[in-house]
Order: sequence, then C-alpha cells, then structure tokens
Amino acid sequence: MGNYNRTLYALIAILVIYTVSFVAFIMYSITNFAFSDFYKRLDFRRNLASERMLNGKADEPNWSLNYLEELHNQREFIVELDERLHVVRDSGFDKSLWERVNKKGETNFKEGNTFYSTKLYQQQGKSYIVGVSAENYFYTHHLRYLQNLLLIALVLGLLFVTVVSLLVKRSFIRPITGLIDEVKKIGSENLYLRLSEDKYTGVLKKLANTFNRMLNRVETSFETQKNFISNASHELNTPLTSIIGIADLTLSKDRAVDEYKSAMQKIIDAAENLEKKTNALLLLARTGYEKGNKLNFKPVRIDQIVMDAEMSVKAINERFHIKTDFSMLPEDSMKLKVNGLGPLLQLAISNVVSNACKYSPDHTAYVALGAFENGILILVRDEGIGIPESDLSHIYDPYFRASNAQHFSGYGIGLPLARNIIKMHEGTLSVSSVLGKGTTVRIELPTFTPF
Amino acid sequence: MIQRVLIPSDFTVNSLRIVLEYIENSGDQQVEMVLVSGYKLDSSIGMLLGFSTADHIADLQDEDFLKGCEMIKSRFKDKVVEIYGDCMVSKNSRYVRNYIKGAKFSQIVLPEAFEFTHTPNSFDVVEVLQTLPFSGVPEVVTVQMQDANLQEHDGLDSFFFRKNWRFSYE
Repeated sequence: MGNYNRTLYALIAILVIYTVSFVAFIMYSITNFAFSDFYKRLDFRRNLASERMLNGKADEPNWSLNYLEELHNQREFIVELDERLHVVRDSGFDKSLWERVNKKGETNFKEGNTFYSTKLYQQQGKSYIVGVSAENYFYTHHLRYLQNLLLIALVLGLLFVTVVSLLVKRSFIRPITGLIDEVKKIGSENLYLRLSEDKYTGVLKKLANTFNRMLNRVETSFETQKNFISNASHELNTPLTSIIGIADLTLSKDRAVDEYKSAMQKIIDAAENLEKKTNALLLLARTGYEKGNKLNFKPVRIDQIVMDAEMSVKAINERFHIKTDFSMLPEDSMKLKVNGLGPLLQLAISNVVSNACKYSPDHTAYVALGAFENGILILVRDEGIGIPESDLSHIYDPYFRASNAQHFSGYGIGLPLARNIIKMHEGTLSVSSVLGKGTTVRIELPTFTPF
Repeated sequence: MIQRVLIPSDFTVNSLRIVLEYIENSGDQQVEMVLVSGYKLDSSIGMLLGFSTADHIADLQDEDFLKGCEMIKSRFKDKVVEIYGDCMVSKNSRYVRNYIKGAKFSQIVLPEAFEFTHTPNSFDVVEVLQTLPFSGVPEVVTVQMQDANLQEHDGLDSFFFRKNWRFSYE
C-alpha cells in the first residue's frame, strides 16, 4: 500500500509539474512575442523620428501620426555626440540610462514598463543617437491580465488535482484497504469468516468472491483434518458397538447352530459396514494431499448412493424406517450423476439420514431426490423434536449438541462431517427446522458434466 | 400438436404444486405451460412507460422457484416442452378475453382451494378467470390441491411427500 501511495503521489507531482511548466511556457511565449513585436514598432517609429529630425522635416512633427497610432507615453529624443562619442547636447534624454545605450549601433532595452529603441546616425560628419521610448500597454495591462488568469487557473488546477486524488483514494484505495483489513481478521481460529462481497464492486467483488471460494476449500480441508480422529471414532463406534452387542447376546447362553450362523452373518454384515466406513475415512484423510489437491472424483449415480446409504442406516439399527420419494427423479439418468467419491457421499447421506431417524419419535426419516438443470437436490426430513432457532447457527460446529437433544445419544460430529464432505463436492448442505415439528436437511450437489 | 396451457401462478415454489397436479392428472399430450400472474398497472405515466413484464416477473421469481421449474422439466422431459412466466396487467374482462385469445391457449387450469401470495398491486388471476364464460375453447381444467397443509410451506420440499402412495421404496 505504501508503494501504491508513493506511485499516486508521484503521479500527482508529475501532473503538477507539467501544469506549472505549461503555464510558464505560455507566459514566456506570449511575453517574448509582446516584446519583439513592440520593439519592432518602436524601431519603425525611431526611423521615422530620425528622418524627421535629421533630414529637415522637423517642421512637420506630426506627419507620421496621420498614419501611425501614437504609442502610450511615446517620447522621442536625440543626443548629439562628438568624435570621441561624448555627449555634446541632448533633448530630454535620461542620462542614467546612457550606459545601456549602444553608441555604435542599434539598442533595444527596457526600463520598468518603458521600452527604448535607439540607433546611431551619421549626418554631415556628426554623430547622433536618435531614440524613441514608450510604454508597452499590451505588456502592462493585457499580459498582467493573462498572468493573473494563468495563476488562477493553476491554483484551480491544483485544487482540482487534489480533490480528484482524494476521490480516487477514497473510491479505489479505501476499498482495497477495507479488503486487506477483512482478510487480516481471518485466521485458523475463525476460518468460517468470509469477506462481504456486497461491499465491493467490479473487479474487487470478483476478488472477494474468489477469496471466499478459496476460504471454503481451505476451511473444509482444515476442519476435516482437524476433526479426523473424532470423525473416525464416531463412524467406527456404531458398527463396533453392533458387533460387540451381537456377539455378547449370542454368547449369553447356549444356542442352536442356526442361531450362531445367523449371529455370525450379522457380525459379518456389520464388519463389512465397518470396512466400508474405514475406506471412506481413509479417503477423507487424504483430503488435500492428493496430486493437485484434488481427490480422485468419478461420476457416480446419486440415487444408488442414497439407496446404499439407507441400507447401511437400516443395517445399523433395525428400528429405523426410511420412506423415500423418488417421484421427481428426472427422465434423463445422466442428470443423476455427480462427480465425487461414492463412499464419502454415502457416509455423508447416511449420517444425515440416521440423525433424522434418531430424532424422530417413530424413527422414520423421509428422503426425497430430484434434479434441476445443473444440480441434484436431496431432502432428508423428519418429524422429530426440531432444533431451537437459537441453536441453528451452531449446529455445524463439531461437538455442538442442540439444547433439546440431551436425551439422545450422540457427539455432535455427524452433521459437521456430512457438511464438510458435501462442501468437498462443491455442494451445499443447509438445515431448516421448526421446533417440535421437525427438521429438513437440504443437500444440493452439482451434476456431473462430461466436458 | 403442442398445447399451450395457462396456469395461474404467483411465482412461488408453492404455486408450482398446481403445475404438478395438472401434469400428473392430464394425458400424454405435450404441453407448453405459461404461468400467469395478475398485476394491476396504475395509471401513472411512469408506470405505463416504464413497466416491463420481464423485469416484473424476474423480480417475483426466486432461485428456488426457478429450480422448481427446472425440476419439473427434468421430471417430465417428454411431456413439458417449455415453462415460462407471463403477466396479466388488467382485470378488465375484455382485456382478459383478448389476452387468452391472443396467446392461443388451448387449456386454462383453475386450482381449487389454493391461496396465492399477494404482493402490492397483484390480483388473483383465478378469480378473474372464474367470472368469464368459456364455451369449450379454451378448455377449463379444474385441479384439486391434495394437501392443504402444504399451503403454508413455500419450499422445494413441498414438491415431495404430497401423497402417501408416492413413497416408492422402504
């Protein structure tokens, strides 16, 4: 920013120097023209005066005035010189100016506002200096006026440049400073903060948007890594409890062979479920460490994933019921494909669905699927206890549990994990809830586009 | 031949239920659906010169509504050729008759027991249409709105779980 300020001040200085130089050049040019023109006019009048004084036309002093305008305060003088160029006599010449007169030729000089033109003439063996003096009205009045005009224009110009600079600073540098201040506030402890895009316009808005999108990715990756152990424990806990429970129950008394077989089958199912979750967690652990920071996403059918997720939820808890509405499935099956990792998406959806079952009094979750132009919509609804409005903003924080969920088992890890997985797939997960009536989780994922 | 159908709307997601009810209860005929809302123009010169139907409709439609329309088009790809919005700007019966005649509607859908959201200057198109006598052309189709409880719910989830028989899998 310091460099930027310096550049701006340098530009202002260049502009000011240019304006001053321009004004000075105009003044110099006009003054120069006024001088040379006036001296020409004086020279002409001096020649006429010498004709009159030296060639016997002295009795017609005013003949030239019939044709030429007399200059302001015009005066004529003649100085007679001896051989040594000493003054013999003069007619009203100011002797203090004698040193400035060229005794051997022509002279033009200026004293105050009076301009002089003199020349040496030889007449009948005698030398004369004939001269004319006059005030330059154009110089004393018009040029002064122009000078004042240019000075005023210069001051106004400087004022204009200052005002424009301040406006530029306010409209351009201030938003950048604001952007920098906002970015400075974001750290690892508050990665959820975002730049307020509405405050900016044009390219700065694009910059804020790009930065926010980058923050989304960083936050997802950061949280996933940070909470990996909690996520792993959470996901592995349920199948392990299921395996231990079945084994304990089976071993509690002697049973028939078929019962043992059935129990073993259930244990195998739970172990397979455990293996799937372990694989999904390994994929999650690799987030951010893949080549080019991208997971190896592939096109997957979301309806299949939703059904698999429901199966896995029902496998964990037989009391859970899931009602599915596929009535809005698109006719084109390509619209059901998303670019992603099947095991991770299944993990996310099963977490949301099992939460819906858990908090519903009849352990029933309603799942619906539809597709719009560029995305897929998954809705998971329950008719459970709902979430208090004051808790809604915290439900994505790991380990947070709603104030009315104390009687339900859980750790507050499933929903944040599901949200992070959806965000990794460039999707969104949002929750709306009415206390005592139920909760709806809305998941949107972008459709896979081959090109 | 594609039929052009007038469907009253207020451009809320909830009003798209009328579209769904109509599609699900009509035949296999291809349809072009025109969702029509009512907006009474006042007589100021600014309004007369500055009003634009496209801008007005764009103001009323939110992101979920557009997604809802896209979802219906995806679901009924072979049946729904196009869905777009339009606006009646007067309740005058002559204007309404000319509007219907000019747009060449072959069907007009009238929902029963549906309350539209009112915005300033808006009017209920259904009420206006019910006052007009139609003698066969265009055909008037009445649709029954299934679940009155969904009336209050203006969200994309009102598309789903509308009828128990639709739960296709458990």
